[in-house]
Amino acid sequence: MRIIFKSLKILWSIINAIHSNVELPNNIETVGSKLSYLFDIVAFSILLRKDLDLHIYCDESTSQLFVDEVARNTIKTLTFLTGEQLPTNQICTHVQRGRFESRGMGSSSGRLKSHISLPLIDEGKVLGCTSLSSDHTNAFDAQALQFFSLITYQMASSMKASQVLSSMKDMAIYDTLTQLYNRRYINQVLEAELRKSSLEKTPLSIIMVDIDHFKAVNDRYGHDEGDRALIHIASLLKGALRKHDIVARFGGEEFIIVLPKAMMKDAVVIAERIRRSVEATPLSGSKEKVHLTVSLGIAAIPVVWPESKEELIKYADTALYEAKGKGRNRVCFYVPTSPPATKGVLWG
Amino acid sequence: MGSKKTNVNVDLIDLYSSLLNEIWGKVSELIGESLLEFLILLTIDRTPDKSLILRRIAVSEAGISLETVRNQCQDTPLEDVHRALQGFTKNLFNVFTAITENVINRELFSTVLPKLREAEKMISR
Repeated sequence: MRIIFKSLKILWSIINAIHSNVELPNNIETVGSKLSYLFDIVAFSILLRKDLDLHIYCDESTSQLFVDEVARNTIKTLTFLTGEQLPTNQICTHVQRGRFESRGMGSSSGRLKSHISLPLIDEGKVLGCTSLSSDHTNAFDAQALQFFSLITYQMASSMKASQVLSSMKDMAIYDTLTQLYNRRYINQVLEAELRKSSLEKTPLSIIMVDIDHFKAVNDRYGHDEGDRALIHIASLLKGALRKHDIVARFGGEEFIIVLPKAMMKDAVVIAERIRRSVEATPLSGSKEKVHLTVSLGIAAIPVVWPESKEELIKYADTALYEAKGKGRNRVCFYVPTSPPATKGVLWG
Repeated sequence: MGSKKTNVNVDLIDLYSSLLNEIWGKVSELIGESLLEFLILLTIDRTPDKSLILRRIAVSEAGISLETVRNQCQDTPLEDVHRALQGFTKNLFNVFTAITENVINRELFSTVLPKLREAEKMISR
């Protein structure tokens, strides 16, 4: 009775560890070390189908031979469960070693004698598999399997919850069509960059980009083609930026680019690169090639001294309208007509 | 003659139905219903020569049922019914072995083997 109670206590702590803030397999060490109190194991492993990541947590004295056998068996099981030939050369194996208290002293350099695996399942789909490995023959009995299946269910449900959370996070910051950041997120970024620019006294530029005659594209080719045009431009924008620049869909056919530490001249170079790239790359794959152009407006600190992000955007928008007014497919930048009386609150 | 064949078929299907329900009861206690459902569907899917009989096995988290097999395969030759269900049972054991070595099978042998022998006797009669 006392033994069962102890086992249940350990089981409870394992389930708590699985559902802790740190997600599996990042907390494999915590879970793995607790498992060693419940099972006669030398290694515990998780193989994830999506990322082809194999995580093995084993006793510190485990031989490489044993680790290799665990890896081979776990991959074999997942191959069996999915019916897919896994690209074994692409599987990335992460081995962590720790002290398995329950094993006491001495080396466990023996061969793999027992290995059980269970699939991690979400609505009939195999997410991966998890395994227990021992250097003892018949190391697992019916009760061990009951406990292990309970643990596996918890792992699968924790992984599913974290996937849902991650996709919700993505939805909150990404534009679902173009996969660029959305307006809400870029507003936060711009706010932070503006604050940083003010504190560190560094330049900051933004570019507003608008697809020329986008309504005509929609009217002539239909909304699906219009959507493809937005995706096409988004991809060209991403390709034209520096590593730390951030681009977002601002709404409709309008995009915004935040260029930290970029002076006006740097922003002009990038904007012109974008303009040329769009002009030279028609939208292909449709019935006929669709030639697109963009107009771009730039506002840069320290040419302007905005008191808020809205003001900086307004300056870039003014420049964008100027580009439209001058015939489109061009870059314009905002220059204040008279110098401000003060440097503004952001930089001074 | 035809009616005798039908009765024997029903007896055989009932025997396998009881066998599979026993497997369901024991294994679901060990690994849970949804995992077992997955493994049974996997077994059906992996059986190379899926006969109509296998396609009529119903499985869900509520259990396994041969009701449709019973209703629709009464005129199927007895040997075919036996071969399909015996093959399915063996394949299911192979799936259990592939993932849990002998842990599940050890729990099943005592009840499953006598029923498989009984089915074979029914065929040889």
